[in-house]
Amino acid sequence: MNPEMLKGHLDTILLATLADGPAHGYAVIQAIRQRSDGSLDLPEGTIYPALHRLELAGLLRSDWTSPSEGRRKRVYALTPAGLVALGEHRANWQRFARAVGAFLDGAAPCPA
Amino acid sequence: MSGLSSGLIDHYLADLQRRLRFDHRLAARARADVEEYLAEALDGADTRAPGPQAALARFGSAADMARLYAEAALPERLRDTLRWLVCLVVATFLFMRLRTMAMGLADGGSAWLALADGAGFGLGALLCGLAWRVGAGPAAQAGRLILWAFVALAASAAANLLRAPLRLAADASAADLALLLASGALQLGLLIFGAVQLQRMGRHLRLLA
Repeated sequence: MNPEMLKGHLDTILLATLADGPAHGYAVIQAIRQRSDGSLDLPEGTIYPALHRLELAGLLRSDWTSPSEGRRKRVYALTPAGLVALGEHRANWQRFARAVGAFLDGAAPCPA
Repeated sequence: MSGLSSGLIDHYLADLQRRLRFDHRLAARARADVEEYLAEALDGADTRAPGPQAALARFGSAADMARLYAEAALPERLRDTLRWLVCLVVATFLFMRLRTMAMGLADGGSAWLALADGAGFGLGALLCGLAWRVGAGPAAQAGRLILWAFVALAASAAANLLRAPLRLAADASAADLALLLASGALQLGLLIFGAVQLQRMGRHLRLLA
């Protein structure tokens, strides 16, 4: 899929991915790839700054996990504000998809 | 990992940090994110694991990454700078009032300095208000307003500080001198801190230009 088409939707995708539960950056990238059957194979470099931006905006929070073995990882989770924002993004997307779908379905001809 | 790969990664990380050196916290964050990504991406458990060169290529150039991180952090930078500017407006007003009341600056003295003092403060406060309004809009515009607000407030502070010694030259008391020196030093400190903040904001905006 053309990455240009995703502009403006990246935040929605990230918030929706983290709605399933906290995850670290690389797991978020993989989840997006898997849930979209590889259609959304985004350049990794766009994901981490976007996660940071959402964190600065208060929609995500991040904490370091300290496993007994293995590397420390920064784990991201939705904040209550992020959950509200996701609801708004979802409603906006559904309205948008309905509106565009009405044209693409070609059900109603143009008035004469 | 081979020496060549390690050198490639070190060069990438150093380049990224150099580009973001105006904000040490942001630079450290970007570096930590890239290191975490590379550690995961190059992990042998991942069957899609690319080599370091391919992993870095998928991540994007250091210049692109620095730009993306700078974009992400810009609203926070503008909010911080605006908060500091509001503090500067309040401090300038309080020191101006304090010196005017305690030293009788309202009576006599240089008319030009009095004009620069009052007009500079009024203009600075006005521009600060405008910058606050456009804060969420175009960053370059907000940056310019913040810069001019700072210049106006600095002119006001300088004029007020010059008025005091001229007024006190004839009959300065120890208390007046102490007030002048203490408030002047505090105001100067605030202005220097502000100039540093402005310089960082300028470098941040230039990276995105």
